[in-house]
Amino acid sequence: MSLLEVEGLRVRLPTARGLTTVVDGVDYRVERGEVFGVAGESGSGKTMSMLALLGLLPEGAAVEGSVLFGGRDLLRLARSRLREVSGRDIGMVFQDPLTSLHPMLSVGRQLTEHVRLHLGLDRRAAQRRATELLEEVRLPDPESAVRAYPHQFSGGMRQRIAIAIALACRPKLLIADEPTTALDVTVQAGILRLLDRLRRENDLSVVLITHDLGVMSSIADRVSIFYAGRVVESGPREAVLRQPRHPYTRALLDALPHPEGPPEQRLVAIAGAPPSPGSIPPGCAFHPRCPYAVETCRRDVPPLLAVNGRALACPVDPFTVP
Amino acid sequence: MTELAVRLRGRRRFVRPTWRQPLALTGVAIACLWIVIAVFAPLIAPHDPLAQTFTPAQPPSLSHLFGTDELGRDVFSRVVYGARISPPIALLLVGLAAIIGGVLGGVAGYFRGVVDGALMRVVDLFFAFPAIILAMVVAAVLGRGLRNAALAIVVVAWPSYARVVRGLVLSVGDSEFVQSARLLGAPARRALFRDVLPNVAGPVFVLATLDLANAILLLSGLSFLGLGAQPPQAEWGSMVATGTQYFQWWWMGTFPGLAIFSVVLAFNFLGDSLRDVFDPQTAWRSEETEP
Amino acid sequence: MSALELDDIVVEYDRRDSGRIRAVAGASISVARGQIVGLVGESGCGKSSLARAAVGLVKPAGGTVRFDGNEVTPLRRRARPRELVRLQLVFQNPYSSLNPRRKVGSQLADALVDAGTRRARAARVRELCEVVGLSATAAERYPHEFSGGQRQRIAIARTLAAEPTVLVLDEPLASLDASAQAQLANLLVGLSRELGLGLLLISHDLAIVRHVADVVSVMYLGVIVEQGATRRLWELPLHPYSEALIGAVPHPDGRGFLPEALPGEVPDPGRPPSGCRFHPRCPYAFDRCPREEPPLVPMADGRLAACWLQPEGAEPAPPARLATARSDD
Repeated sequence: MSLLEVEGLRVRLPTARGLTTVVDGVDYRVERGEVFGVAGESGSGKTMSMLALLGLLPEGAAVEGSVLFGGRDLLRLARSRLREVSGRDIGMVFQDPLTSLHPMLSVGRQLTEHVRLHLGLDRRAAQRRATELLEEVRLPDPESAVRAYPHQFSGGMRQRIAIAIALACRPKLLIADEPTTALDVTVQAGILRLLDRLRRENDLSVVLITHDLGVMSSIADRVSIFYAGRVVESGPREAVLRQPRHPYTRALLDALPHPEGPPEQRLVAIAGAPPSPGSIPPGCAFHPRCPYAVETCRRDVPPLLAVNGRALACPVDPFTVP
Repeated sequence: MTELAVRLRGRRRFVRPTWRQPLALTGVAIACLWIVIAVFAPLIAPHDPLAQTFTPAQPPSLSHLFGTDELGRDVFSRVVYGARISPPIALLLVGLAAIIGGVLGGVAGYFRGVVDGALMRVVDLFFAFPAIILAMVVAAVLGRGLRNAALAIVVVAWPSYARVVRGLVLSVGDSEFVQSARLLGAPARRALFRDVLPNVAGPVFVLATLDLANAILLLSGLSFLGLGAQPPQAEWGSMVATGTQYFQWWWMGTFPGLAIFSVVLAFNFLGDSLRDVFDPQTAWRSEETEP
Repeated sequence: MSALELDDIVVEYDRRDSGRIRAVAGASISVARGQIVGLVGESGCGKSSLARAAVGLVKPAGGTVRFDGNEVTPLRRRARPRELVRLQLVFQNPYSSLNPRRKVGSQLADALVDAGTRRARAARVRELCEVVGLSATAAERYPHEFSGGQRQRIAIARTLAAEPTVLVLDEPLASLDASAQAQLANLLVGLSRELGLGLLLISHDLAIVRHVADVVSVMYLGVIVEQGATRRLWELPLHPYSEALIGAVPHPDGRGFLPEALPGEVPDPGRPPSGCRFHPRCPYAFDRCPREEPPLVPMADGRLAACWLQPEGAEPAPPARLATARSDD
């Protein structure tokens, strides 16, 4: 049984024009001990789908579908129960550690609180665990770090602290939403290596949400590509990124400067921009920008079909088009 | 995340949505009501506000909707005519304070350096005193009377505008679109009038609207203390003052007090809604239209 | 002669509790017409301060900036001198660099007036929109109706009103989607080639700079540590920091390449390390490094490097090889 099974997830958010669909029927699974990448640009629904899992959607949001975590449907749990489960078994790391860490509490306090709440440790044990955790994330000088405050650390270190807090209760799943986007590239490399090591040492599953395919390619085992609230392609990382089948995935990869590719000076840009929720084209959401679009693309939403461990939501296979 | 957040909030069309909100409409309704009452006072008030012809201390009845006061005047008529005094004066003095304070603040923000330092020290000096105390002192020095009370309030009110406008001129002046204009060759003065001031006007307008409420309260307060309107003027504040002396005849002070309350409320509602229209930050949240 | 020349620029600013900080401690860059120069560096390297000094938004504490031979004087209350108007700047944040209250067309017309056109003509405004790939109807709309990528185009169009010869761009692609980044990068290259614009492109994104720039300068903690033709830099980085930067860039090719991390943190610019600023984090540091700061010197092929391992005039070689060679004798 997979650790996390999302089926038919649909999220609608309240706006002035009624409910707008931001996640439109998304399916995926995350196995134990794997890093699952969720890639997409803004408006793709990747963050919202995660927030739905954790019950963090804004007031008035409508959610359908099922999210099975360890056999239990998170969407059907009562708020308090969800908090218990998510607090203990799911850790979350956000993009900006400055706003996700409490500015007025010491680092040690933030760690121990978490640990005492969910694991019931006494103060001494909690302190020890806090220092241990900071060592695990390779924070220099953990003993003094526990007494320091978030603003005294740099961005990269704060992110390590955030990861430590997320892992405090030894969760089975870590959800990281753009964890390195705000960081310098050398610092990002450090965090990626940290995540890679942590998941190997702790048999941890990671859902890595990012718009950066390079980041995904570094540590993800399997990836899924989101566009306009739907999954358009998914599969093993190497297969999807080296031989992308969906026109959007291909276009996205072509638009990226590859550090080892020839440095021609024209990147192949995709015309137009990703649609915002609320103005999603009928049929396949990508069809207005797709060089391979045919008549059916305008009418029918292509279903996500799985073949040989890869899933694809496109009837037109670019490899067969002359 | 920024892009998504911006997109979800939608694109805002300019002035439209705020006027639909219930609070703003209430504020507008009340304000319009009082304008009508003030303009048509002679037609609405059944009696001469100064005429002491009736039986004193009559409770509210059909012939005297708000009763009569200790000197036999019809309270309803006095409240109606009072609409010609407090609100217009408050408007005038807020306008004056905003202009004076705004210009000085703008000068400080534009020239910066020594000029800014000097002007702000003056502003600090004014801020050192609590408003009501300062107003009392000035009014007392100038002498009793409504006009002097109004002047006193202008003296007390202008520093807030100076500070706000200075702050805005400085921050908008440092903003990137102003810097771009300067880089393109615009002299600072053109950038000030074309790019900075229009972005400053909005918040100042909002401040002024909310300040109207304060002004009315201050004016009424001064009259209450005997420094503003003098008897027999039908000014709401002084009516409340007299009313406290004759507590058992509750109608004398209550109705003018309610009038003040309603006008203050109306200006507060208006100011709050205007803030959403003018403030670029909250304007984003005012209403989502086409995403 | 280069269109834009920054010579040994020093930029300082006051920090509340720590006195004066040197954001830029002596940097030199030149940009020729039609040339795209990339400036890369991470947080705290001073590249934004350098950009502002380059156009006159801040006054450098040392060094000179020359544009077409004229000294770039800092902005005062008077209008910027006519001869400097062809040196323009595009800011990083597309959300704050446009006036939220004025229509796009009005802002472009304002730009034309500011830059000295006697009468801003509607035709010219339309032209500016089209040059950057926006439809002419954009002029009637307000900035908030556009996406980040489109706003950057508007910002670029505004600078084009001045018919610039050099454009300084401070992280213009940073807050954009992948689609928008590629489009904008292509636009910039196109403008440079067609209009003969010199570009000083400041970015932390090495991969994009590699695709766009002819020449790259690498900046660390206020100084330039390496400079040279882009292709050569990637093939053979001379400075250990450049090497680390290149190794840290992720590859989106699915091969699972785990980027190289650099130990330590960028030091506080207010308290730079002694000698070579990079030495505490450098894998090849030796005894000279903490003692003396290495100057930026030319190599045999004309590239510049500031590293004690790379002697002046020598043939370029990878730092790793030079370090083992040095420790052998």
